[in-house]
Amino acid sequence: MNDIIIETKDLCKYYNQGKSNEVKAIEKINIKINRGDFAALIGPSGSGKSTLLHMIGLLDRTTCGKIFFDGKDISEFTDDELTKIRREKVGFVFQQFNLIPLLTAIENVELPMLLDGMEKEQARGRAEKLLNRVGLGDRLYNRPPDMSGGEQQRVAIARALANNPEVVMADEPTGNLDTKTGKEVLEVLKNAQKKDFTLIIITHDPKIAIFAKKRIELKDGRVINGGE
Amino acid sequence: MLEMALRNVFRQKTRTALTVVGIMIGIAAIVALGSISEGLRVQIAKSLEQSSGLITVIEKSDSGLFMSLSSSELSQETVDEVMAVSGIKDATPVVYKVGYLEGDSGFGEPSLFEIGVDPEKIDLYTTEGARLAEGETLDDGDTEYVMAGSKITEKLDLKVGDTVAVEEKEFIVKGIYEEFGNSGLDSGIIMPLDIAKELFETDKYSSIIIYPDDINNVEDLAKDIEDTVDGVSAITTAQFAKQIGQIVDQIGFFTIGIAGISAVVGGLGVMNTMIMSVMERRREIGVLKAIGATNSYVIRMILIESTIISLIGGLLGLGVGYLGSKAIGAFSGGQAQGIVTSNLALNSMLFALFLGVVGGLYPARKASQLSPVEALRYE
Ligand SMILES: Nc1ncnc2c1ncn2[C@@H]1O[C@H](COP(=O)(O)OP(=O)(O)OP(=O)(O)O)[C@@H](O)[C@H]1O
Ligand SMILES: [Mg+2]
Repeated sequence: MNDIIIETKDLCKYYNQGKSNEVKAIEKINIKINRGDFAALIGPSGSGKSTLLHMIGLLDRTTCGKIFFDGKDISEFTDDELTKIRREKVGFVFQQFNLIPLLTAIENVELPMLLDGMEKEQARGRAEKLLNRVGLGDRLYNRPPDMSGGEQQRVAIARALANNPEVVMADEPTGNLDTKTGKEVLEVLKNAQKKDFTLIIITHDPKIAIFAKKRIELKDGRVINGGE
Repeated sequence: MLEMALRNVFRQKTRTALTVVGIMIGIAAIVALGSISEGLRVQIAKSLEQSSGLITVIEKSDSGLFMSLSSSELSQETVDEVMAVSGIKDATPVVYKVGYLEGDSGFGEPSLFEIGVDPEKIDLYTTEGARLAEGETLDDGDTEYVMAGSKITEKLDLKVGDTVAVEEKEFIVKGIYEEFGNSGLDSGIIMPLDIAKELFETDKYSSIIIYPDDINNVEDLAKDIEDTVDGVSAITTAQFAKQIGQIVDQIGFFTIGIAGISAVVGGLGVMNTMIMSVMERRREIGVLKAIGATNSYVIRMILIESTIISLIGGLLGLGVGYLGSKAIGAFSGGQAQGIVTSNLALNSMLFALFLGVVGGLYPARKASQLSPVEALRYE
């Protein structure tokens, strides 16, 4: 076991590289996030927070620099290897919830487990437990379009926790919710946090950032505070 | 995954239905046309079975079997030479001419054959022997009388004692045969050989029908005849069958080919539908990948969806094609009897499956290549 779950070395990401509309979204990023941390990524709009989260969440390829995930340099990993790490060790919560609209709440939560090869029955049991935990025990068979934003986000949190990940990454999870609902959702997310479970959250909300044990501040694609 | 695919397929009901119809039409056409050519094959096989073991000798020519059959001319000497070859049990020269009935389109099978043959030798044509339905058989000396086959009788509504005009001369129908299962004889007005020669103003014969001593040596006898007599072709029933089989195959190939094109167009419809569906679901596919679906999972998902569409279309097409083949049979008055063999059904389903897989391949690849981030960003 590695104490540092995520570490980057001179990480950068350029969009449309070599073209006239090239964007240097992040540059020379050096951060360390320890296992069990609650880290907040903060900074103005366009500063590169989402880009950084996608990189360390293994959703996208880097342009330069290195990422160590759980001590392993992942730059040479194949797509399928990255997918496997995401499936087993990372949970995502997005601003737009991003549930599969065709599937019921419980089916949405089961999905990552089924993708990981778990038996249907076992997955169903665990999904039910998770939905109970986020306070949706009575909404198991509702579909996302029939649920409120706060409910949808709680389903998304249950889904993110499905495979018992080591890191949960949330990109403005309360951005589409009113203040009160946002707070509830955040409570759910924090309460789900076990001792060795890492939470990385992007937020514009200073009140949320204050709770965080570690704050990483970005500006114009560079870390200006809290990298180490 | 199957359940999810089904739900996805029926998400856009109208679009899916239209795509299914596209496949259905193509497969229905394949099944209907395929069944007709299958029916033709069976019909021909049946009629050839009646005359199995026979050899037909005609004038040698390069113009293809069926052309030579209608233009063949054999002189008396040639006939004598052929009949002298050993191994022949029985033989008879024949003259015939294709006649036209009023109202004939001139396409397809001629509906009247004028046949001159030795009255006693008519039995040579069939393994079971000719059977009379009505009247009496011809006698050697008959000059005013003819016999009629079953089809021509039906067509002209003939009865024994009626008169019928052949080459502008009137004859009296003396007897009517039961069905031979040979379209020539069944559509034939049959008269004594000499009368026919006189009528057609010829001293040549069209062909010689030969029945071998040993039915197992038909091929050898045919070869002997060709070797000993110059300028003739000796064709066995098996060769006939082969040639006709080839022609039927060609017809089948051609018609099924055309139907196949329409099915391929249906397949393009599947591809189009799946591409649209993938574009609409970019975000969902991105999410799937983000939460751990591999590229191959995404590919399989799209392929399952496209094959569900094409298989539903295929099954409906099979049903519609079956009905279509029955309908063609009914409209043609039983001339074209479609037979939907299990092979045809199976192959058309496999073709539908193939179209689904091929039509889904490109969209599936596209979907799997979506980067989760790009797909998530898409609004
Ligand atoms: N796919 C892309 N193609 C081109 N440019 C991009 C792409 N994604 C992001 N960018 C650019 O990269 C920069 C960083 O974007 P990013 O989304 O990381 O910012 P952010 O800090 O998350 O902003 P916000 O708080 O508004 O979400 C921006 O200038 C953005 O326009
Ligand atoms: Mg962002």
